[in-house]
Amino acid sequence: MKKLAIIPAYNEQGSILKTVNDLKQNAPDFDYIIINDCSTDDTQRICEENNLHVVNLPVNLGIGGGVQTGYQYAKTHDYDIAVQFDGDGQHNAKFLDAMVQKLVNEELDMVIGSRYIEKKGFQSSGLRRLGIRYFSWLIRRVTGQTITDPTSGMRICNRDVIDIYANDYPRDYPEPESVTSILKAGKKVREMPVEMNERSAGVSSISPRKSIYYMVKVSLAVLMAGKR
Amino acid sequence: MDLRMRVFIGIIMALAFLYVCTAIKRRVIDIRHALVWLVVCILLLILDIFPALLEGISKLLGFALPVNMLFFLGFLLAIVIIFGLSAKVSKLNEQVKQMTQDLALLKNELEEKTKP
Repeated sequence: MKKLAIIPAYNEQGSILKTVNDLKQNAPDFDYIIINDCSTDDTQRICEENNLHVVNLPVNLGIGGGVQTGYQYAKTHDYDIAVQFDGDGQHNAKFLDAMVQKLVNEELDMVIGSRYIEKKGFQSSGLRRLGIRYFSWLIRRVTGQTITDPTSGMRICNRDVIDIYANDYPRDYPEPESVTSILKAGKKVREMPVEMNERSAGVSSISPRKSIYYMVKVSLAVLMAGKR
Repeated sequence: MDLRMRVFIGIIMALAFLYVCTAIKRRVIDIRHALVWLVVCILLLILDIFPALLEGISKLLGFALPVNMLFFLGFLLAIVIIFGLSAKVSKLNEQVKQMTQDLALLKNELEEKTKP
């Protein structure tokens, strides 16, 4: 079984090596591909000097376009399983094998690593948790299913979902919308507890100024995904 | 409608029409995108030249002043065009994204092949 870790990276010069080493040590049967989203720092140089597998986007596409490129890579290189694994050091590779096990054994289409089942590890700030609870509620209203951590980027999926995402993936703040659309497509999605870290370097894509846009855009996107 | 105002509006519309035409000639704008602006100019010009037509329609739709109807119509058409442009930008955005992704993946494949 071919397994790929998709590492979206935008200005992650401080953490990209650590992320790749974590994968090599704790999930050695995963291949990886870094999607360098036209970083303005030394990310590209670090990748090339260390001979890492990297796709360099010539134009900045934002997180959604970057992750989608990873799914397209997974599709063209015929991978059976793909996981999104953030380049900022928030995700822990040691959970990947258990997630693969769950995906395969329970014949699921996607397994999401959730911070809020066992409530261990970095739990995000209070306001953000409130936002996450709200999206969880919204997705339950729209799809009838409970996703405790709808903004988790740590999600592992099979060929079906790789195909869907390679063709169609939201542009910015993609997680809640993309999970809603595959739930609506009748795919089986389950969560399992993972621990995440506070980001080791870089900045979050959601600044306070953008959070209003984020809430409105993602709410609308989830509702629309429910109607499609 | 006051004659002075009609002449004024008529001149503006004629100038706008000519401006769009020269823009097409100088290839500043594609004919496909210019057509809708020309239609707006001609439409408003016709209503300006034949005020009876404008008055009839305004009365029918309940506008107190025919000129209000003229402005409203111009505004409405402009909004329609702007929305069309937003849709176009979205589409262009999507096309650029797809090309970027294809290009990046191709470059990666090439690099992997030429690597020792």
